[in-house]
Amino acid sequence: MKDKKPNTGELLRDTLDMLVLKTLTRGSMHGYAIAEFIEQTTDDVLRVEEGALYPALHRLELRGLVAAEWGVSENNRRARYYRLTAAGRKELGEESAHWNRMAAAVARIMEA
Amino acid sequence: MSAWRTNIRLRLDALIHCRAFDRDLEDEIDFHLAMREGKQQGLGLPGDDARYATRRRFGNVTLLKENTREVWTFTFLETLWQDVCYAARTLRKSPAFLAVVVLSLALGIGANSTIFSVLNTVLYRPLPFSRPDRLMTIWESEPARPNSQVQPAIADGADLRKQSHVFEDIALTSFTEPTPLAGEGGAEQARAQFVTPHYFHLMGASPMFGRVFTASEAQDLTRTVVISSPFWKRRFNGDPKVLGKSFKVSGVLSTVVGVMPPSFGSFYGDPLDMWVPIDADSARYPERKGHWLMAIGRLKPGAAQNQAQTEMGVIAHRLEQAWPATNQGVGAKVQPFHDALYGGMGRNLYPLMGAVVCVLLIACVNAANLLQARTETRGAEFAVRASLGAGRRRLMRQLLVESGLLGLAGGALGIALTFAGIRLFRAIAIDFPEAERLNVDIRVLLFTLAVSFATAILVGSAPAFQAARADLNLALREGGAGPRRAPRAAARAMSWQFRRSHWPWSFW
Repeated sequence: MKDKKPNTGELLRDTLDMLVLKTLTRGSMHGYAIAEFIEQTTDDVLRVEEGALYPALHRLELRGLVAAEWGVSENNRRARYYRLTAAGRKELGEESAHWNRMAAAVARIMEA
Repeated sequence: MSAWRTNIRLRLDALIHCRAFDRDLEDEIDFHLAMREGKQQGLGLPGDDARYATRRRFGNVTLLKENTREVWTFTFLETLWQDVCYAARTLRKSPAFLAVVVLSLALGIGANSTIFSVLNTVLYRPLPFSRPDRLMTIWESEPARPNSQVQPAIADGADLRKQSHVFEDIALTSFTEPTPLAGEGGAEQARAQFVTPHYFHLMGASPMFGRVFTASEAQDLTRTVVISSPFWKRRFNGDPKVLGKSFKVSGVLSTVVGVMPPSFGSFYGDPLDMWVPIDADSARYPERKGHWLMAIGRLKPGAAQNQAQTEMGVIAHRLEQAWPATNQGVGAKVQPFHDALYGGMGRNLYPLMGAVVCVLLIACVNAANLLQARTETRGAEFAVRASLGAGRRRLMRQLLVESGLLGLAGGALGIALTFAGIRLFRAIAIDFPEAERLNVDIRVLLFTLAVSFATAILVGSAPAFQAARADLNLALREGGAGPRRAPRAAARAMSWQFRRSHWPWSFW
């Protein structure tokens, strides 16, 4: 079928996936809350584009890493809530390990 | 694995409930927009400004929805379907090419399927007896010729039966023998199979009505016979009161005691009228010289062929000592019954199969050449498609889909030719055993399908790689002339020219 990891935007997309998964470890959230959380936590350094966020969320759902269900938001609106699945937790572990290795490697170069 | 299943299930869900899916997606995005707008207002922006700011940040909402929806669709299947439609359209535009390629492939595929259906009938289908895998044939070797195979002498067969512990039972039987028949209904040459009384039991067959032989019935002067269903219908018009009627078989008055069902016939499916009992212990056979009955044994559950072989060897050795005059140097060999019946036929049929495979390969080479020549003239088309964004893989797939269609069309026509081929085979091989049972079954169909796909890959891969290699710049610059070729491609094109000059012959 389709390539799992296309060449363009690979880092960006994978990183976004990881950040979304990590965010969802705090409990189930709707898309807006996920975007807000990432922006606030990074003091707006990382801005989550909606154009990337929703395709990413749906891709994660299709891969079985998150599960989605409809719920009612804090202001009484119908909202789609995403929750981390067991497979998602496992994937997050692998990705963050990979990320840490990469970051450490880059840091070593930059400090050399 | 389960991730795959979830994936497919979710996609199918989205496909089936596509309206609800679209509405949900809309709701989800709207919710996000509303939340963002609320936040902007909270920061002090007036209503309209808040909306514009939100929209600006959000970008193209429709595109976002489309991108999200695209995540859910079967992109691969959809583009494959596009390729199939496009291929069908382009092929329809060159009917002569289409007809020539499909016809030649159909001939090749049809020849293969015909021979395969023969192989399927005689070699791959189980024999019509109960647990045929446990049936073994026991051969004797001639004195001083250890590799020879003959039917055991009748008295030897009787001894094997008495002494064996590996076989449930061993029966002796002739093949179909012409036998004079006289009595009510006129004289005729009947076809009879001579069997020891427990033969039917050994083969796991029971009569349609009446009974089979009892152990004491194999007597020489007044006899009982069991008749076949076709004979019953032919000579007795299917009269249910046939039991007890008698006629003379080889001059011996014989009474009908049973009728076998139509499913039970001779080994090779040739016509058979009756079974006549034989007494292997009769005083007529003690001299151990009549080698005209085949010995068939049924292995006990759990017993294997090599155990039977060992045991038969031991018994043969005992017989050597007991009857040195006839049995000195006579060994025994156990062979699966199916091999005994059809092993020789396989030796004839496999070379034939090889021959038709060669025919198909030649047809493939020709079709591939035609397809390649066509591909070379389509350089401009591929160049345009590539410059519009088609990937190399997509172009290759396009050509493979085209050859796939050609292969499948060839296969479909090939099946039709197989039916004709089987009729032809029956007409040519009149005395071929099992001719009546030849047909196209599911295995032949699957075989044809597999051959069609293999054909498609053989035919399509060279042009596909060629299309992928094509230099697009050159192709566009030279217009319709097609990509100028590397020396190897040029040589191939020359061989195509050469072939074309021999065109009608090179097909076969």
